[in-house]
Amino acid sequence: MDTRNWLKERLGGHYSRNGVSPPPDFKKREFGFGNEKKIDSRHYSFAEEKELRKYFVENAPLYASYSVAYYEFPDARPMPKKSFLGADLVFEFDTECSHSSLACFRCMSDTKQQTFRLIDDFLKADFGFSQKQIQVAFSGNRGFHVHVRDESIRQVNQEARREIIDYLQGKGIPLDSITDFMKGATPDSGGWRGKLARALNTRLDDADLFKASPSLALALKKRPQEIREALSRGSYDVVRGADNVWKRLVSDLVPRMGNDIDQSVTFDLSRLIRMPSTIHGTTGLLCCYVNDLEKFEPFKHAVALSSAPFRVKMLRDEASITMKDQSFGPFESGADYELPEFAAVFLVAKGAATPL
Amino acid sequence: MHNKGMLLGELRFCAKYPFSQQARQLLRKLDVSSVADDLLAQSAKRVEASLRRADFAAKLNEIVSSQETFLLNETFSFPLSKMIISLSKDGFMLKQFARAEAERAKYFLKFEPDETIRELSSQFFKLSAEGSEHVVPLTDFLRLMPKDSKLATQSLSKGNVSVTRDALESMISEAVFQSITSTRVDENSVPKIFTFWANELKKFRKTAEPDLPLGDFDMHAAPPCMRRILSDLQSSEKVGHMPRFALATFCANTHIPIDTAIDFFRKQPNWNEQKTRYHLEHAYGLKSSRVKYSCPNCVKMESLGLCFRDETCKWPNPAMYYKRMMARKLAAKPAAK
Repeated sequence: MDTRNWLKERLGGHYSRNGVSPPPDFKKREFGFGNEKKIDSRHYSFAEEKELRKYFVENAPLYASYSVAYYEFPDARPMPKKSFLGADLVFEFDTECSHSSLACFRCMSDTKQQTFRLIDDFLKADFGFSQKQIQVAFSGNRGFHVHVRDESIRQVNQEARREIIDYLQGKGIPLDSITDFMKGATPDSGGWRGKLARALNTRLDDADLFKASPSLALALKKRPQEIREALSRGSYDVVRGADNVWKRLVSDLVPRMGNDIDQSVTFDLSRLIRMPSTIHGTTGLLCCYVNDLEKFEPFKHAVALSSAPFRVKMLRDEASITMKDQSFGPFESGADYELPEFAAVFLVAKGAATPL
Repeated sequence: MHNKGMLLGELRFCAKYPFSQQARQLLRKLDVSSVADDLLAQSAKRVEASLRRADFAAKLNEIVSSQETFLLNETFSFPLSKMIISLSKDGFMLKQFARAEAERAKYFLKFEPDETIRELSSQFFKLSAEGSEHVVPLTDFLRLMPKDSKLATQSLSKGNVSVTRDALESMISEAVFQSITSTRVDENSVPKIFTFWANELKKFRKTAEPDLPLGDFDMHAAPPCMRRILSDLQSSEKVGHMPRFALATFCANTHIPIDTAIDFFRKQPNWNEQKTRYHLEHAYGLKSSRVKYSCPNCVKMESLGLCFRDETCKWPNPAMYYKRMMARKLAAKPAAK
């Protein structure tokens, strides 16, 4: 059987057994579906939950997405006719790695740390959002989506969302006159000045940091008490040449936006984003909301397909994988294996095996 | 129209800030069905003035030294101007007018006591005080962010931004700009004479800024970002969607003939004339919704990593850069005999 149809059959079975949960305010959302690409066709809308469920059972799309925006007429075309009502604020973290062709836990854990940093240091501390307004979703493949849903953010336009991205990246911090910028900043200060002051105070013993500014390192060695006290109350002019230390702190504190965050997801108001409760066609894993990010393990908590046995033939050698606390493989190219549906779909969807 | 019960000082305030709640109170007395011709002419003049460089200092002096009738007309001409422009359906003119009114307000605010700044601020956004600091919600700050400022340099905590008085003045000014540009008027709700003045304004605009004859594309007049995309397109390396889109919309907004624009993409490895024409026809607004796509502005180009700004970049949009450079070139060219 054709691989794509086999995958669709597996997903169709899952949807008929488990259904899908519509996103909040789904009647005002646009939906898009794909089998060949992530989105082959868009501009769908559903007036009833049962219509949406029926669509999934009948079509079993490999990829399903919904709009971050809310519209009066979500299925209207072209876009201006949809009548935009507002949009959630969404951040997408993707793990880029070259360590493994199937799954890289090291990089995934790095992405988790970036997600924590975004939520704690920026969304909560700076932007004032509460945990209730923030939802984290595992994309079903390589990353996490952070959704901020609040009336106050819905009307924030594209330009302002770009400014939010710039803020996360520390864009606009006057690096050429950073010592002036930091004058008087204390760990209690708001925004980037406070972040940098706090970071400096917690890293006064970090010799590596002070390599960038030998004069400050020397002053700290000679007059530790005096310098520490001055720094903690924001008197940064007690030492000269701290510019490089500040610059280093800026680069350490900026979440790895360039590599990890897909910026266009945040500022593109017509963006469609993976729909939680659906299966990702590239992994067979569930795109799902994550309540405890710290403990979340994709290959344990996002495994939604059944354990029914399926035979697959490997197309290449692969190292072993662990899913649902069970280890499978290592796999040898050309060999047949009987695997539970979730593992068989994972290997087939990744292009490592073909169904028999 | 007569003012009953308002002190001259209050009238002056309304004339200076015709967008304020106090002025709106006064404007309830305005009956659009019986507006005097003189007042409509004055309103149209107010729009015309916005297309030229205005002398705000002279206007402030006029307001400070004038009496009731002038102050009333100055206040009433503001909403009437908005109605007339809105009927002209000229988005450019509406924006120019909005920018001029916003700049005028900003200029006037400089001479006001802190109390007035706070009062006008609270008419547009939530304002609170923390000690001697003015604090505004992040979402309001983002919505009305002062030009040339960055969120990263602000004191931001728990969704509140501490701002200076200067920033408040800029935010009020931006709020004025946004409220004017969102003006929509139902043609049927105003007398026919308004449409006459709207047409007069259209004629004025044509003489004030004629469309530039941008026939052939001139690479030397193009901004560095577009020159870069064009040069990338000439190499055999595949150019991504966003730079292609930016160039297509740039061409659409600078009157570059579509066939010339199609040729720009010819050397690409995945070249397909039919597909290129299809996409460009959409960008030019010749197909489907017939809406011409606007060219990404410099801020967007920068966020897309497509900005290669140099000292010649003095305009906020690549298309504007090209038009202005072409206009300069044409002006410098001796007239053909």
